Amino acid sequence: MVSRTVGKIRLLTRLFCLVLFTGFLLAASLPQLSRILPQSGVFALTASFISEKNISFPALWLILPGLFILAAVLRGRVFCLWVCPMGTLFSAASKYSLKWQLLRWNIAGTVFWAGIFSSILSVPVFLFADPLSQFTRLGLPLNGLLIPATFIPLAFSLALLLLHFIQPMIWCSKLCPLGYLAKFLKRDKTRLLSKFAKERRELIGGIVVGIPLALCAKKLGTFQRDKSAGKYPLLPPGAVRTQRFSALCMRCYACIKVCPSGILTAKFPHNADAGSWFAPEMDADKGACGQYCVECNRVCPTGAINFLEEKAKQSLQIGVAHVRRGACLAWTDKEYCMVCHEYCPFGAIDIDESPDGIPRPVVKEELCRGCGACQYACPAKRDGKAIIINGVERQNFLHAG
Amino acid sequence: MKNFSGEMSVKRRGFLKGSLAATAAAAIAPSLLAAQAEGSKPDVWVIHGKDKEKLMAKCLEIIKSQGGFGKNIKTLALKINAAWAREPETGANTDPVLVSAFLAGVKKMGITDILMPENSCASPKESFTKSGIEEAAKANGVKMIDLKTKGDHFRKVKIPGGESLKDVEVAKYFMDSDAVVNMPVAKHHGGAKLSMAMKNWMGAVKDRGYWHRNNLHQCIADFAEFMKPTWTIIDATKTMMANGPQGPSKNMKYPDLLILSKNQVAADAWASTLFHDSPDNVLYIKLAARKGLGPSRLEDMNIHKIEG
Repeated sequence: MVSRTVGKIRLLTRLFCLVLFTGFLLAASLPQLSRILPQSGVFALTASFISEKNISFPALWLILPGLFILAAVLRGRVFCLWVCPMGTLFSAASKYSLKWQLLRWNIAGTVFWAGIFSSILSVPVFLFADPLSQFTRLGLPLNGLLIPATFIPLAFSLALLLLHFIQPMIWCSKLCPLGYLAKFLKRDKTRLLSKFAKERRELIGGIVVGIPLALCAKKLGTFQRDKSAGKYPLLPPGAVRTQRFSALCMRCYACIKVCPSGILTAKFPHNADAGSWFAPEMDADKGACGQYCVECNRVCPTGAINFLEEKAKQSLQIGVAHVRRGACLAWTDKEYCMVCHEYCPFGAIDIDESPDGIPRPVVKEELCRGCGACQYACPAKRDGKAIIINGVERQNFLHAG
Repeated sequence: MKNFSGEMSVKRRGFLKGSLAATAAAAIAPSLLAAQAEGSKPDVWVIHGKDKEKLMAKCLEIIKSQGGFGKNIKTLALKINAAWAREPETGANTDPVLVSAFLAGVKKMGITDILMPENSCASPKESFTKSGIEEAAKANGVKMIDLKTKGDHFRKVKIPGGESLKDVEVAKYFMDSDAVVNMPVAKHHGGAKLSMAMKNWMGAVKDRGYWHRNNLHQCIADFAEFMKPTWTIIDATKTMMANGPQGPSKNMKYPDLLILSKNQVAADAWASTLFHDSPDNVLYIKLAARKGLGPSRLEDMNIHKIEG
């Protein structure tokens, strides 16, 4: 037990951290802050490291997780007791708990190792199991990001909070993988051997749960992909390819928040690998990716969206436009339209003149960057947009034109 | 004021709608009063010169000699073309030097309340900065109005005699100002063939898509019946001859001209000859002329060629 004075100091520290973190959440509209904030989540970075071996982001971003690890090695769950904002909320709720036993076993170790092993297979379980990752995304709806995906952390955290009114500290003592990591890292020389025996059980439990979980998720992904063969989501410029992007992305949605055109969004899972669920993607019905804009590249805290120079961005092909002639005002309705040609910043729409002199659009795929200007501007309504962007398997720099 | 009497004698069924539109239309009456009287040959000034500031000075001199922007003018709405995220040399937008010289000149004439609304095609931020027009406005203490921002920018109006475009939501600033000036750039256009004065008004309405779905050329001509600016000044200092409206194009010409007229159809018709043999090659000019909005044939205008 801690002494009363230490207890008081600790309470004040926890409250201070809670207020600080909450302040960060509310201020997350500032790109600079939204970049600092998710870094405090250790797992998103760990998972990224393991699944994609990514070391492209500056070491500065590792300072906060580094501090966490250092504190854990020296003092175990000191982070949980002094800093963690979720822990503070949960212990407050636990004070008024019904004290029922819903979950008897401590399965935090299994959750942790399952997360690690599913990360190896590029299924980012930690995005949902990391309390900090959840907490840092709590404020997204408050920041005006009213897309369904941003309500998930809110719902998840609220559900956990409610659970604490039933069973005290159910998350912190039975489930939290971050807390498990802190305890795991604290090296105690005297009891090394007995500790390993327990950890081995947890590790095996993690393999048994994590690998099949990841495989199932992948299988589901392949199954869905079969239905939309050859189709790739349209990713923000610099995301390179789906698997890399979704493994590195910690779903902080700073990119969506900062995007001035509104093309960036996060959708409910559809036609995609489970690993890429809730990852940001582009919807060219909602906007066009600005020719000179590199805002999302600037704010991404993990390097999931690579930094790009304005010039490099302009030659990057992130998708290819496709004309749906049946829906096209020029091809089908014989209207003088060519809005796609008009809006294309890269001259990637060719004019094909009909026998009666009406210009009709044809895509020059070798010039198309996939910015979505054409889709966004397309005035066709009857059968939906007459020109749509398909994502590419891998974003490439075009050298022509 | 044929269009107004037509507007007023609406049938009972359409009375409510009609009176609403008439109120809206009455608000632009001052700018329309200055429009060309029907029947007489409209004047078109074609001003040539390499120095853009001198060119605009000459242009404003002519405007002054022709009664300026009207009597008791306090507010002026200027429709530039700042639709694209393109540098001035591309010729996709109105030249910022011309815009700056115009704003400075108008301010000297005592009109201090100038509005510059624009519904750009590319991202407003990129378009306004790359075009250099925002800077030109700022330098003269004028603020651009980004019609894409949230806010109460538009008002629905009826188009008198509209065939394809019967009603449309127009930026209210053009209806609430004492004078309206259209200052487009002349350039090639993939859909409309050429973009000059009449086509430039698409940047003043909310839903451009409707025009594309419903006979673009007819909509452009219909809107010209409603929106008759006090003056039209077409920037033909450089003309993008292909790849329009956005460019960039390697096929550039430098006619070093400003085309000035109170009649936008006449201005468009003259400017079109920089690109084509006959104004009739551009369908909306032909349609507007057929509606009696102005001449499409050069022999039906008084052309004054002036060295600026």
